[in-house]
Amino acid sequence: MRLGAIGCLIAGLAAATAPVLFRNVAKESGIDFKLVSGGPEKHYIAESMTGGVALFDYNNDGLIDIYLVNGSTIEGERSGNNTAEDRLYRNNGDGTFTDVTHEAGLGDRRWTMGVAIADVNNDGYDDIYITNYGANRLYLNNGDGTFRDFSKESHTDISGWSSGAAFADFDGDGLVDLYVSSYLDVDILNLPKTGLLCRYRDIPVQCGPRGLTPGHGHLFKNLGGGRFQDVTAASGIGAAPPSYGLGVAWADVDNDGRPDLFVANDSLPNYLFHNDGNGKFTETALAAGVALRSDGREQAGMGVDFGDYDNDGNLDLILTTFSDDYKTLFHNDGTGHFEDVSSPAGLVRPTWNLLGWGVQFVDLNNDGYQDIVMANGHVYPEVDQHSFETTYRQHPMVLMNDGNGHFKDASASAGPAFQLAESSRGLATASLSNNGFMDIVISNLDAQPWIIKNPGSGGNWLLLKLRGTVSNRDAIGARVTVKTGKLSQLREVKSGGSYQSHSDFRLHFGLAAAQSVDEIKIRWPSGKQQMVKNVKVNQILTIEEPK
Amino acid sequence: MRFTGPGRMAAWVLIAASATCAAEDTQNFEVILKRAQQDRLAGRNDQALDELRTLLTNLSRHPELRALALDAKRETAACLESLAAEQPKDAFVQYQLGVVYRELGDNRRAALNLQNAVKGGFRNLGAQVNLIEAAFDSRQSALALETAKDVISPSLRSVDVLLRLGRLLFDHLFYKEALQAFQLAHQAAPDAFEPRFRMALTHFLLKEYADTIAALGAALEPVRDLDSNPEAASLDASAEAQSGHSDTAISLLRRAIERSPRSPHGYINLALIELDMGNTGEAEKLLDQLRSLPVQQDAKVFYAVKRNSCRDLANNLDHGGAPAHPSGGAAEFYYQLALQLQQRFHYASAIELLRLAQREEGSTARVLYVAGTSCLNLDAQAAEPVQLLRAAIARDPKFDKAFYMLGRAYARRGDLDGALEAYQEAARIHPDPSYLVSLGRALAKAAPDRAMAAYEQALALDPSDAEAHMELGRLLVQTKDLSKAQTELEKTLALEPDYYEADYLLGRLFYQTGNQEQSRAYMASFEEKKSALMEQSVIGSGFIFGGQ
Repeated sequence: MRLGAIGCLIAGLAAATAPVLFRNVAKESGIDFKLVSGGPEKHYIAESMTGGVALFDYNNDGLIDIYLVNGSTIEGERSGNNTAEDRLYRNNGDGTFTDVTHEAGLGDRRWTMGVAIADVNNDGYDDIYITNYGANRLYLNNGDGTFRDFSKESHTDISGWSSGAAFADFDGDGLVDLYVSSYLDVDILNLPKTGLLCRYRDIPVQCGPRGLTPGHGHLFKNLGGGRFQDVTAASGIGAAPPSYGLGVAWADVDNDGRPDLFVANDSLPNYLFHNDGNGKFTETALAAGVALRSDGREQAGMGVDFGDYDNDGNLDLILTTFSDDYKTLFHNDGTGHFEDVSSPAGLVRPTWNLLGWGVQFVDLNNDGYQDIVMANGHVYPEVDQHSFETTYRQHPMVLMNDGNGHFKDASASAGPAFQLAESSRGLATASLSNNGFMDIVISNLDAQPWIIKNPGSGGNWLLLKLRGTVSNRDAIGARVTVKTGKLSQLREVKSGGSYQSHSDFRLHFGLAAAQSVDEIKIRWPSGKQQMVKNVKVNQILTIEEPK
Repeated sequence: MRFTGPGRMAAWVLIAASATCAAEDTQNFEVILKRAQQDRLAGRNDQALDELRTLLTNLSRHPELRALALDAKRETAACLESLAAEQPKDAFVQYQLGVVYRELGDNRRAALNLQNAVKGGFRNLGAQVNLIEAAFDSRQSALALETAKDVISPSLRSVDVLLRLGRLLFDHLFYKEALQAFQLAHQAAPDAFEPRFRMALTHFLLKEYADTIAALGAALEPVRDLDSNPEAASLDASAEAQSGHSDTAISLLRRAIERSPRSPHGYINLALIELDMGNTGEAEKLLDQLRSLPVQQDAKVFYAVKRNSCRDLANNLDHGGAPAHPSGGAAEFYYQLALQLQQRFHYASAIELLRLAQREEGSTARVLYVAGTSCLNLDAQAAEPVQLLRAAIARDPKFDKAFYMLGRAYARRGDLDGALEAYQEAARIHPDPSYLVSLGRALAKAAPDRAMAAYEQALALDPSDAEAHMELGRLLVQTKDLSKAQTELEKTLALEPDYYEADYLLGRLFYQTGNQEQSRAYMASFEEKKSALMEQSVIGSGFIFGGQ
């Protein structure tokens, strides 16, 4: 073995074991935001489910901005007088953010659940789609720092209780399409209240979702110009029964070049809609092994992310679930068939007592192996009055990847940010300071968000921004493999995912001690293949699709 | 009662007879049987069947010739199989085959043939009821339930059949469907007591207490006539108590006891209510009286204690020595009663009796074990089950069942290392198939070879252990030995057709091998069975069994 390679190996190991101390810098950031979500007692299920976060560059200044959804109260809905607004914060580049909500023409006051981002009209500026209880909204970016409400014209302003949303170009026409999951088909002003009817470990709690009518997701095909057509029935997606849909993520699970769609369902089997081509989908979750956990039991699926945690070239899946259950890691064998490997991967014990929501695969120490970070928090404040070995407010969790398919709970030693406890929900990641180390933003019910800064001790890195020309502008669905020595890492550009949230489009690669990138292979959504060789490390590189 | 349809065959009615059979007659019967066999082999099935029919009628008068009668039935089955092969669409032949196989005790085949008969158009009540019974007897509950749902309708007016179906469904924990049958029986015979009582009991188990009282109210008219039926009176009172009307319940039960002092039902239910209210002294007096009755084992327990005293019991673990398995007196009575309550899913009630046993005999291993198991079923995530089971083991380090249940408790809390250790110890002390299967499950991901060895050992001890076949099949899917996995999973379904997890894994297996049609078929079967058995599984199999 050459000395250089040994050096890489040792440095890589050192990078993997060095503690990474995270801090919450929300106060210093200037963000003053409280996520409103009903009353503190959480008598109704509607009060427990909001909390999307989006990290994206709305003004193309190269800095990642923050969008935080906001909820409402039952009284606010009843009176029609909700004052809590969704907010957009511009990244000033110096660690601070400025509230530009009104300046940008935003500030939705509905009971917003989640957010997804994409450039729906390929004009080079990212647009915002928010899911509400009530009509969803599509805000088109005017390109001058402002947005206009294009909801009606887009025909995506469906009513009801929408939850997760994610964009992908399912038919390969260069325009991103949209899937929106739905949680319940109910009137939130007539939800059953905490009382004798609904119990958790024999204590009365809020009701649902079981016993309430599940919702029906929608698939919208992009017709161009920001206009969409509901193709739920025509695509075959409508054939799946209504479910308690939450987290949504697109990924090409069987490496056939077409994005497939995963929907995490609460208390019901999950869905995996295989993209058959020609605009058709077939629901295959049971056969593919991702509908249920390994013993055949349904879980309360909340948040979801795809990522190649073992660098074998296939996208694996992480799912967050309820407390008294493990958070599930599904390993992809490359054919779209998955195995629940939560137990051998070491996820069972550490995650058992936590109720997980937002989740991401992200390489936090830049050692070349994606770790897992989760936002947690219970739905029942009542658990604090009993010795249930779980609490209402919970700390976020970081599971560090040891490079051998195992994860270790490093939360206790990950710094003060991971000792904080709230009832957290959405989670998104981005390098907010563009230093190549991934930060985490987490929303918290009835509290301030956390901006968790990565202190940046670790290996080298590469941030890739892809720009589609034939493909959709954001290159959503583009598949990139980065090789450094023997290490080969796979990422896909994605929109949405986690829990009703959206992370930075730029693809992040931790490169450990590698001094250069041997090769970057890109499979664009259009099908075009591109190779770039001998790339410098520690840079943000923009690559445009060859025309 | 046998059901026959129109057509060629006469009813096979068994008539008890006391006449003994002369040797000559026996020889004649054997000759007829042989002749029938020869006719069948020569293709003269109708003739053979006629002979067999006559033979069986004659043999029915000679119960001492049971073995010969069985031979005759086997021969009948063989004839009918030949006919079925010639006329595969003849639903009536399928029906007759089904009935014969029922008589021969081969309920799987019976269910298959009866299902063919019903699908083929032979949808008379006899065929459907026989199908339901055969399906339940061959552990095909989903099939039985689906058929029962087709049969039970307002057009079915036979009270006997409705009650029979209702009881079958009830015994298999399909309470909603059982209730429907009982309600229809009540409509068909409004004055009959049993449909009303069964309705009331089913409402009670569905926690519909107001409906329980309403159904019983009419049954016990003119004014809740408790003299007529202390069991019904106890059910009535228990429904009042579960609805929060404790005073009414107590008054009703005291009256029931007064009027029927030899009936155990009032004592046990009132004792449980008193325990729930914290009136231990009162409860002990009633239990003492119950103990003195000769028919205490027949006591019908309706009332379910609401309080969870697991913590109290765990906090009272004494540190003094006590014999591992004491005997005699009140302690034994309380302990045995607790065991019975646990076996009937009355876990909180069992804990109350165990607290009394604990007072009498101390925190013995057996008390702690049953308590730990009951607490585990009450709340698997609580700390007390582990605490109690560990305490049981401390008092009896060779208590293999306690180690096993401790493993289950750890597994339910996500502590797989703890579960593994406990299962290993259980299996080391006593290599029971269920311990070995659980051990295998705990080892499966991390050490598949050792898991395989555990499953194989379980199957060596009991080749008909469906769970062992199932887990071995799952492991083989994991290790990609798909052909062997298929064999094991198919064996699982052959042993336990309701084991829908095997359908699920077969569905995934065939998906992996590219056989989409088979995959879809198994997945459809999985979803159908799971959906049908969902209610049953919520009530029944979610519980973690234990007990001596």
